[in-house]
Amino acid sequence: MTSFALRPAPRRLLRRPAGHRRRRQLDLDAELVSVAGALGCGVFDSAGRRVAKLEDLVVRWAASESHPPLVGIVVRARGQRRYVQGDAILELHPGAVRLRAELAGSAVERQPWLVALGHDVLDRQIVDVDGAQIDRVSDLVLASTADGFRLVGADVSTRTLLMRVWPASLRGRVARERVFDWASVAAFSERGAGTAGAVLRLTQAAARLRERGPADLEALLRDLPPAHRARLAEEIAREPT
Amino acid sequence: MTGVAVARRPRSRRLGRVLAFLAIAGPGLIAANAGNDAGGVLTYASAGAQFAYRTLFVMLLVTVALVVVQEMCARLGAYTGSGLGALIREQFPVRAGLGAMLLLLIANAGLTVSEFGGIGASMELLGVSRYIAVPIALVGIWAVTVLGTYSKAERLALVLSLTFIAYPIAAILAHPDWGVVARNLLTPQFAHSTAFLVITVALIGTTITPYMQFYVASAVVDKKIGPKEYPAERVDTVNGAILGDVVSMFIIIATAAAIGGTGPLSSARDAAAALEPVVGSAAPALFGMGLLGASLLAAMVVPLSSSYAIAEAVGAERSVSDSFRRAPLFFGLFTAQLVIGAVVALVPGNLVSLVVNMQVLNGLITPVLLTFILILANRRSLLGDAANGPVFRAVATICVAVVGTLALAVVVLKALGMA
Repeated sequence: MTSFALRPAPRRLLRRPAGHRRRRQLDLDAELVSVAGALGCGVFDSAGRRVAKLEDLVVRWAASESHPPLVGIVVRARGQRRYVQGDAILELHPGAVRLRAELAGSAVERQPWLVALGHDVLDRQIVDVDGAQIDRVSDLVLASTADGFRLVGADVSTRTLLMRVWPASLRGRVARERVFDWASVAAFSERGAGTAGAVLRLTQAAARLRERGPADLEALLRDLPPAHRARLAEEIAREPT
Repeated sequence: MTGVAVARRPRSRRLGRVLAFLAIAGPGLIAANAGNDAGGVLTYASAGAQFAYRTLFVMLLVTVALVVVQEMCARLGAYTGSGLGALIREQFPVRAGLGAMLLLLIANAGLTVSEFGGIGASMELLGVSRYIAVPIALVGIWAVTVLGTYSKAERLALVLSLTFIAYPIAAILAHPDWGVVARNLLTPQFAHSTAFLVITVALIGTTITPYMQFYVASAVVDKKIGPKEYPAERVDTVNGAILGDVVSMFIIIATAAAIGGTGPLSSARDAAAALEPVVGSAAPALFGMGLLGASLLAAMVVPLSSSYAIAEAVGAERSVSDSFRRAPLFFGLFTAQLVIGAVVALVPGNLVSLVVNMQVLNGLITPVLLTFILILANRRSLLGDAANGPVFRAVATICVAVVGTLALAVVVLKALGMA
């Protein structure tokens, strides 16, 4: 078993790897949707009536999938929060969501395999395996693929964060050059269902952290909260199956 | 033999507890002592000069509020591993969070100017020109913080905190009537005047300032203090807040004993000069030393707190133990605030209006940030069992409501030209 111990080495001696900031750019020729830009937009039924406001976008999370699929949305209609299945969505744009029929949703119920992107991931920390660093998510990006929308990228730039201050009409554009592939995300911190504090979700890319040198890993782990540090260190130390 | 062993065990446990506390101590003590900055010293001295000992009871109540607020911040840092900047970004709308960070940055940049002004004024009391003292202080603070490590910066800050002993010495030398002091401390002696309300609000505003809350939470995170170490950190935070306010009370007592009832003061130099007939020729040196320590400490802590907050909010590297190359935003902001603060403080002219405007800005931010802190500390989804219990929640809500309202009151009073 690989042992991994945190030594109290001076942080200033910890150097970033040569590939620092060389993240895997998103290489996808598809329509992209900004999650931060979409949140709060109107939801319209088949008759073109505005029936609700978009509160969140929900993906199904599985460790085996590098790009989680969108499986539903959370909307607020007449003061109540409702969950709408993904197959009821006809179109999803930064400014509007169009449904195939009339609004028909169920009560919102948290499931451990579902992740609400706005509530759980946006503005929280992610572990970037290529840059070997901890980042905070300024925006998440969905792409329209043959089998529906999928979470394909993350933007951690300060510029995008500052753009979110502007009105919705000005912040829906996705800056492709600042988006990196979600497949590079080894772990992300999410609020977690029924738990106190954030929980660390590990993705398929977490295994690639083992390829990093001890100095990179030490620098990476030091930047995480204690509970997440222990969880990730445990994952890295685990023998691959 | 057994008896000896049994007798030694509690002592070794006590020693262990003391050593554990000393290893953790720092963030709470430094944050609270930094609250006795240049503006604070002037406010406390002015309270003593204007109303003698009558504001001591107010300070007792303020101490309770400070303990409550600082403890919540230290707890948030220890249990979440995140500073207030990061938590506000995660838990509140992005506009509210970024707006609060921007106001904090502007207010802290202004306060840094007043801290360098305090360094210049105190060194002139000790016979050194501000044009020599301020640049040396700037380079010294920058070098220790940017080129050193967190532990070295913390050690320097703790040493600077020792200079606060000057105020109790000044108070004792001023021979106050301790019976009157005790009566004013333990029983309300309010004066029914607008001036008393204004000084009360000013005392609260200068004792509970946002940079102290941001600093304590971030320093707890930077020092890697987690839930396991938190009991010792809580002792540090509570002791620090009490000690910081005891020092403030001694400033009030010293000026009250020497010149109580003569009217407000316009500068710390006035306070030192006024003390001279009572305390003797040591007065300027004592006041100068205390003010120097306070200003140096705050000149380091104030820009650090906004650098921590902004870097946390945007997710950039942030640790005093990092190198400039690794944490360019964090150290860039820190350096910029220091340089601007020192340069503006050396420009000839009256800094009073700038300082007053920054206090108004702090008055606007304080209620917002205290509300954020209260909501965060109440959230069980964030802190679990470490969230505020019903009693603490009630006490904290009252403290935040009173402090927030009074902080807004000072803004209104200043806008009306009454403060």
